[in-house]
Amino acid sequence: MEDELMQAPSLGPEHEASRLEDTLRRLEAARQEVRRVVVGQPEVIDQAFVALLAGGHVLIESPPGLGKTLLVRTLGAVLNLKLNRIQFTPDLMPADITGTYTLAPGDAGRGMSTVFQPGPVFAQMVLADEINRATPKTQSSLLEAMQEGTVTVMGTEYELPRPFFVLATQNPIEMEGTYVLPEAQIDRFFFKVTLGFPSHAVIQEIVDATTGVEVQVPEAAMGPEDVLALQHWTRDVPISSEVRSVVATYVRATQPELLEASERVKRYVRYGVSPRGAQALVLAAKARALMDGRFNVSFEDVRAIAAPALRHRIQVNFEGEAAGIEVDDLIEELFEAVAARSR
Amino acid sequence: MLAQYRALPQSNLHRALRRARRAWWNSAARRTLTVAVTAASFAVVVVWLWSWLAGETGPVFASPSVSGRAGQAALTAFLGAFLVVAAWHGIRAPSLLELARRADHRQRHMQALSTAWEVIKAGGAHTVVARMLVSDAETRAESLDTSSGDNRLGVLRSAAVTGLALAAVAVFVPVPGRPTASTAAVAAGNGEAPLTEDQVATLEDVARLLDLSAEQSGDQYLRAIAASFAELATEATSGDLTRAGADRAVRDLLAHLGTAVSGSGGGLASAVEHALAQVPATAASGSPLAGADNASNGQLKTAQTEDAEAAVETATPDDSASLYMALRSLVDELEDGGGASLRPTGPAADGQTIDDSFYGGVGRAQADPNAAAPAGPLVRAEGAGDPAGAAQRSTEGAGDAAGAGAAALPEMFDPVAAVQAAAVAESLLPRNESTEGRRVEIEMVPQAEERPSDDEAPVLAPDFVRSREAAIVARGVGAEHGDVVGRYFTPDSSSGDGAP
Repeated sequence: MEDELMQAPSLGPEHEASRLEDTLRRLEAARQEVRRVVVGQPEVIDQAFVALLAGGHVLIESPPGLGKTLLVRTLGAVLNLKLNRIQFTPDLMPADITGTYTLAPGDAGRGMSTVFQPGPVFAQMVLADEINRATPKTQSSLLEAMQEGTVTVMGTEYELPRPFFVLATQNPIEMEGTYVLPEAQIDRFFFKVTLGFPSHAVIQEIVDATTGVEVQVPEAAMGPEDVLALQHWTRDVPISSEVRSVVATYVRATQPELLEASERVKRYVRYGVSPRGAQALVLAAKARALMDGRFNVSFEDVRAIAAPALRHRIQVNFEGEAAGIEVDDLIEELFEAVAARSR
Repeated sequence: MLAQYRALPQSNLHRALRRARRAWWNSAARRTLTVAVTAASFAVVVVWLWSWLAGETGPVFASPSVSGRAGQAALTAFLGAFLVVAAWHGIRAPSLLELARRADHRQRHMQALSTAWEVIKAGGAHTVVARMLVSDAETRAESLDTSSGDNRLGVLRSAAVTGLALAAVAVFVPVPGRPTASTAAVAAGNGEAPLTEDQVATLEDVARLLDLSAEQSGDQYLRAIAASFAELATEATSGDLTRAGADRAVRDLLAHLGTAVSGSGGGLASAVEHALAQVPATAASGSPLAGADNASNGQLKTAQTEDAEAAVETATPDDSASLYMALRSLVDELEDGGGASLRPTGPAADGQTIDDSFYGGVGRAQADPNAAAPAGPLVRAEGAGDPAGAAQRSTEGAGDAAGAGAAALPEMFDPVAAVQAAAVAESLLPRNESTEGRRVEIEMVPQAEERPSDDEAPVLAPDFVRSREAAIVARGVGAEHGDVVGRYFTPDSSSGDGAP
């Protein structure tokens, strides 16, 4: 996947710059289109776009009825991507996701042959609804597809379409009969986005937009090629050694057993951010900078995406949970301390 | 790195960063000079303070040694501070990348300049995104503020201005004297410095000699004055007394001393009069010395005291020094005289010559209560308040005399007033009795060599004149009748043994 992403578009410098600017304009139009349909969640929309440009996947955690499905469907429509939805249940099997071999009439109508029937994971955008209701075995099949970009069935590896973007949801309040995702698997999600309850004005706006005769239909503003090009350019965004150093310091500061950790981290954190978290942090910062029309990573970019990129990678211990420690507050506090120390 | 710079195109960013580096070095040079000037200024101030502590006086640059020291210190401080700060700046000189980072932070370029500079340093922009970044940085560099933005320079300038002002003050303001042993005499004249050791010693000598004289004469007034001199010396030693207060007390005590010895004659009186003659006119005119003999009652006391205080306030350092020189001459005279006393050695008050042997060696302090009071001593007793002796000699106004004397005393000399009150109480007792119940009698046994030789003409008894007899303040029997007197007036003799 990375080799494919690292291939620069084979255009001349002038034309390539022009195409970059055009793509960025279309990206901005797509953002505005999604915002028009999905009311009152601008930050979540931006985070979804950042994860898409970074080539990551998003775990959305929110109570039901806050527009998760609407967001995914709108994204698919605006980006003109093939969308599949998988409703995870306890009896869902891995083959129900990845696909399976079936018997089919042989060539020229003679005999029977096995034919691979692709599962719903074979799509450019997958909505894995209530992922924590499926068994770990089924969850693992999806997570493997997310991580590798391929599916292996009966010893045969099948490549997933590009771009491949998974948005999984889980309900944080109804845990009975669910299978909580292990931390190692949660770490494979690029972002963990939490949907907050909308404000009074936003609720009124949602009611007005969705209960009338006129239905908001999203229009396509980009194509899969644009997404792939943006994913490539995102990785080209330079990052200064200063920002890179701050990210490294920050990641080490989240580890309670290291000297760089603060007293609160040592006391309340069970384990901190892995190097994969540092990759996600920098990649997300690059995507955010590019999405804002800038071509370098700034401290503000890192700070803005630190919470969705790291909140599921920091595990608070029992004492921290008892003390009501919020991971988002801890992340912001750590970033302030590290940035001040670096300057 | 230089080769790398040469390889780089002279972009706007490169030029802007080099301008920023020049600005930083200019700022560093200004900081270095400012710190050096500040250090040199404070060095001059330190030399000024050191000169003051060392007791040197006068302008800093008036003395070759002090000016040389100040110049050397200023030059050393300037060079030392210059080298240290310059070395510090040389070590901490920022690279172009650091300058780009500072510009990013200060001018909110969101790390665009530093990232672009790193891209350029890494060999140039090879991707479209990197080229877009460098292009954006070039645009930003056109309007880049390359000033150093050093806020510390303002603080350093303030420190330098303060240091220069202090140095200017140190240069133009002479170093004041410090109350050391060498400058004490100079400082003593301003009324603020304490007495010198010599002056305190003079006061102690005066007290000692007056106490000796009082011991010999039994004069309580003189004893009180001696005690006051001793107390004054003690207070001056302990530092509880200012110079002006000491001068005022000395003048008052001299006034009382003049009063005590006035009309008594003898070596003490002459010594005191000689000393009083040396007291400066400024002090004398305003002190009780001037009005002591002329005052007729205590109502003049207030005016005299005010005059004395005014005189002390306006006294010059020379006046103060003369005061103690007069005391010293008094001490010298008393010591040279071998112990002067109130005892008259020359002509009596009325001009009658009285020989010591005429009274048979018996003390002359015994007043004749039956004798008429002579005019002279009586007048003095009323006017000057000659306390105990005058009161005893006077047939009237003993209390007046004591009262007048007490009225002339300042409040600070309460011991003297107490002595005077005691003298008054004693005068009211029957003769030959004191408040302690003892006789007031001093027996002086003449020496063998004082006896008149046989070759000399015998002393004839003078003709009896009533007025002269009344003027004699003491009576006695001739030395030739000493054995008789000794037989009848010695404590061991019985009352009926050969009594006439």
